[in-house]
Amino acid sequence: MKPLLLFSLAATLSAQVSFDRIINANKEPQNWLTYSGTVLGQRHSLLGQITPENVKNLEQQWAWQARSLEKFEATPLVVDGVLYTVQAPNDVVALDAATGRPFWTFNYTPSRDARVCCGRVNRGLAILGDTLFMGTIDAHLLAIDARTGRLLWNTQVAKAADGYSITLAPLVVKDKVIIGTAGGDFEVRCFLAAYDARTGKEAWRFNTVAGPDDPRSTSWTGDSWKKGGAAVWVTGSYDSDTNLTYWGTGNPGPDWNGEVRAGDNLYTNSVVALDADTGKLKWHFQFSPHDEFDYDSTQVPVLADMEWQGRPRKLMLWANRNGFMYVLDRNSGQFLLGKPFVKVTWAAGLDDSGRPVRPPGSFPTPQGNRLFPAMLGGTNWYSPSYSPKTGFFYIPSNDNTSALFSREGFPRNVAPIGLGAATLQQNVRTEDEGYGAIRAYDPRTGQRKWEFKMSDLTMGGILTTTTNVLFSGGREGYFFALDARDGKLLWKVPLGGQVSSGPMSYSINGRQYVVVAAGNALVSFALRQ
Amino acid sequence: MKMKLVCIMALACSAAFAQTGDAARGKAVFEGKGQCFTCHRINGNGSRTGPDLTDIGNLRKQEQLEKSILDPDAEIDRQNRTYRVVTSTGETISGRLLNMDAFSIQLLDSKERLRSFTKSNLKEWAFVEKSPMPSFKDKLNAQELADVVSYLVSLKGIEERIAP
Repeated sequence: MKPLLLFSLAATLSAQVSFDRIINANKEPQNWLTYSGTVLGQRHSLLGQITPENVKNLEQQWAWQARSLEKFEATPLVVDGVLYTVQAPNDVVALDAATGRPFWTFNYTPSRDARVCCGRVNRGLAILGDTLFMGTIDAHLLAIDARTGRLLWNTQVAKAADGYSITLAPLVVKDKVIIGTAGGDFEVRCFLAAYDARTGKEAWRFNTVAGPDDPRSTSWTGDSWKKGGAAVWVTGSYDSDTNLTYWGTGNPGPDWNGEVRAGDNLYTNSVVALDADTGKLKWHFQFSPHDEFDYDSTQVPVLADMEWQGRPRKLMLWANRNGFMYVLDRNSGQFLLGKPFVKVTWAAGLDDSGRPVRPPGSFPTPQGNRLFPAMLGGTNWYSPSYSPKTGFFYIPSNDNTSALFSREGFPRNVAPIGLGAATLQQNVRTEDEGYGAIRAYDPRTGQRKWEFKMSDLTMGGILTTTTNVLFSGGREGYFFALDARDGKLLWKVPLGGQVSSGPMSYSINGRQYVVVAAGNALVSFALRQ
Repeated sequence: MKMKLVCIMALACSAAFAQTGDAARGKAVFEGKGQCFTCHRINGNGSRTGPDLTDIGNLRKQEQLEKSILDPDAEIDRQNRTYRVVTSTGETISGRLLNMDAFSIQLLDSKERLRSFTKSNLKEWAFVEKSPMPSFKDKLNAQELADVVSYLVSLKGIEERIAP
């Protein structure tokens, strides 16, 4: 009787993902429990089997082909040997993480009202207990049984017909599931909201556009706040010491015509720090006030504790689409450092408070105005990485330019590139016309330590490991490994499809795997046995 | 007459405007004296190494075409730039760039062969600033130039062939 009880207890423990496990995810690096690996947003694995010396011996273990032609932007979760991911737009699959063989598929057909600006995509799942959570492109939040793929509850977060959607991976904090709404290009007022993980009932809501109920509504003219945008479409982070959750917000609407919305347009293009229990705003920092360039601040807030000018400090590292890299004090929101990581001409620099200094003529015009970085940004939603081992902050970077046009009615933007697709695109550009790169920075100084150039732009995220291996990919369809210390190329493999997501790592029975999505497939690698 | 007068007054009139071109005569010059098929292609005939001119009449104005014939370096379309690589053994290959990534380059070379190179085996790789096309300023008279331009303006795309 006693052995049976022990067996039963062990099985229960291995299946249940408690919040305690989530905030201590670094104690079980064999699993990948949140979008960025941990709630700190570092996308850094403590698994050490793959090293700079042996990474050349990686070989493919399995591939799983999605029945979808959308971009594969989801980062999988792995829990005790089971891999969960999303087949775009909103099917959920559970795979054997060692073989890629499916256990079950949950199919979801979004409402025909669903409309999205930039692809019917999804970036991943969250898990708590035995329940998976997914936002849908028709703005619902679903709870799904992780063992069976059965739907447990379905909550409408907002009306898809109004232009709302959800594309990010949710973040679980305690007993709540936090999501944000996309749709900032469709004249809506976006928000963050938390839902009871058990019932799907809304617990709190924070409007990311300051309306009349907010003292900062004066940052909008007239009723422009009603269509203010500020979408949230990339997963935030969480600090359990302060119970603050951090989220980046998107561009104001309309995107490139700022005349109808004079003012700073809070809380667009900002990071907001919210009490995770109540959704109350603790502080905010706006990266790009009164944005007219579509420079969303929808990046992963990377939380890092390090020595800052002689004393330990809790920091937030942020590589922004506007081309600047920031270091903030994450307890107070104080601006500590900001430097461009790509060529920037829309701003001459940052003042002492971190506010951009705008040179004359740096705005969209009816004739078109060529500015750096391009509309696609110096970076975008692609996951950066912070390695406590090297102390470097790694940024998927694009040195690129585009001409910005302001027009009456819906504005037009002409960029020399598209928004990307799952299939590879031929590249006939030279570096002086734009290129992608992995860049490593010392966050203490803002000094670039190295870069690895690609010929084409990149839309891939970055994974670092405790053994100083950096994995990434890009629009060229390669998946590659660099030495995180100096950027030296260690290994590469052409996967035949664009890498549009961030790699992740897990282990099973002591064997480390690295997984990346390329084209429409998920591909797994491990060392040759 | 009125056109000629306006041209003289503006002092900016092109040679092609000054002459009335004949597309049929221009076709003969293009295929004969001009030897344009050596590099260009029209409706499936000619070389693939230069720009395909099958629908050039939809893409370029009369003045632009004349300028390209007289001064090919003045304006080179991005997709028409010539790319040149030099291998580690010293061989130089030029052609049309089809694709390039961090590690490799794909070309259609001047002999219309598909070539792929790894950058680690190359000494140099870059676009060529100048056009490989010679200027026809001293090779065609004003009438021949006007005729060729008229012929190019008449090229509006692939001829539809309807099966009987």
